[in-house]
Amino acid sequence: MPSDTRGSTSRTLETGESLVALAAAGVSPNLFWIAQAGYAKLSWLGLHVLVPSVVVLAAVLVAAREQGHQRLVNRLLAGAGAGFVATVGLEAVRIAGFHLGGMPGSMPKLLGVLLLNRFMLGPSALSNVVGWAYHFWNGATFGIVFAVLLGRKPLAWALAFAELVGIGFLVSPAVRSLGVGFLALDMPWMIVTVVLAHTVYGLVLGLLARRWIREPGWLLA
Amino acid sequence: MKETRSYRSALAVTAAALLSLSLAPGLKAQANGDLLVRVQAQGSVSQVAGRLKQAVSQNGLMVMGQLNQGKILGMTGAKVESQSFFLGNPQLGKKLFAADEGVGVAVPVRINVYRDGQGHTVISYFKPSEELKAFGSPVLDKMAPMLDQKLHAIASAAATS
Repeated sequence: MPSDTRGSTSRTLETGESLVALAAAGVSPNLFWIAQAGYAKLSWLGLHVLVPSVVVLAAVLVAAREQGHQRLVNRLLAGAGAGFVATVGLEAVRIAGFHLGGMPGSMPKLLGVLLLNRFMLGPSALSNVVGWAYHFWNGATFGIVFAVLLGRKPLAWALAFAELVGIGFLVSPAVRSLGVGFLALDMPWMIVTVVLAHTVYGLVLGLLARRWIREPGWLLA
Repeated sequence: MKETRSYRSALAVTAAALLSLSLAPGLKAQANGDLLVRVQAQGSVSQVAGRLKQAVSQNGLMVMGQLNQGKILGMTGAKVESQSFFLGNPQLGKKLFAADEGVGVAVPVRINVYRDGQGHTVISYFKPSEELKAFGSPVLDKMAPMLDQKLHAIASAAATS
């Protein structure tokens, strides 16, 4: 096979893997609002949708590495790492906001009891671990989406991306189900907390993505 | 004079009754109207909840569901001690639903253990006979006192250590 044909096939394959990675990474953050909108229980979605999406992402990573798609491997790992660390920053703001009355409750704890289907019993040590893990996984998957889709971009891109994520959360049925109204209009300090938390997330994500992602440009181009 | 004496003796009997109620070991029952029953219990909420679960099975019922409002509200930062238990059994359920398909709004019966503002642990429940009256069903009216008795027995057993 001629080398340019091999190269073209490899690029097509890399694009295909990237699309699968994007789809798999996009699953996790959508489950909470789907559950709160009443379409399915989060415990069911966790087992039947979240776990398979994690397996698919891991499979894409392994396949990309096997096929020498180093650009995609780098973006998957850099995006996940940057998203994970950025979530620490987001959490610092969210926890402070919660204690200052800017959040209706502890989101990771709520996610934990919903994922383990033990809302009636309240949180346990295990449900807290599961809830925090899910929360950080969401942060990591948003990082993957950013890195795979956009790559190494100026900081402003990461900030805009993070604010879009925050606004997406605020307009989702998940927020209304918390009893704070559409867009959290009944709890204005929550809007401030969410915007600030996602600003910090975007800053950290943007800085780390610029440092860790090796190549600029659109992966899907 | 005779009237005054009988008035005094009635007052004395009432006072004695109130005193005996207040000195009853760890068990102070209070009915707010006919619907809400509150029983003061000995021990912490979790201790009383533990005794209550044992008393439930001894009275031919089972805990069909449990709601820990204290822990749930803990996620919002609120500090509340309150647990609710939903009690019933399949046989009873069959009879109740046969009498009225809409009885699910009142059963399984709910019993609550909580810490009040004075630091007392309290067991409370709505009297099934009062709740089931709303259905206007003679069958339910006949079964309701049995549920009243069961809840009274469970609350009494759970109230004292």
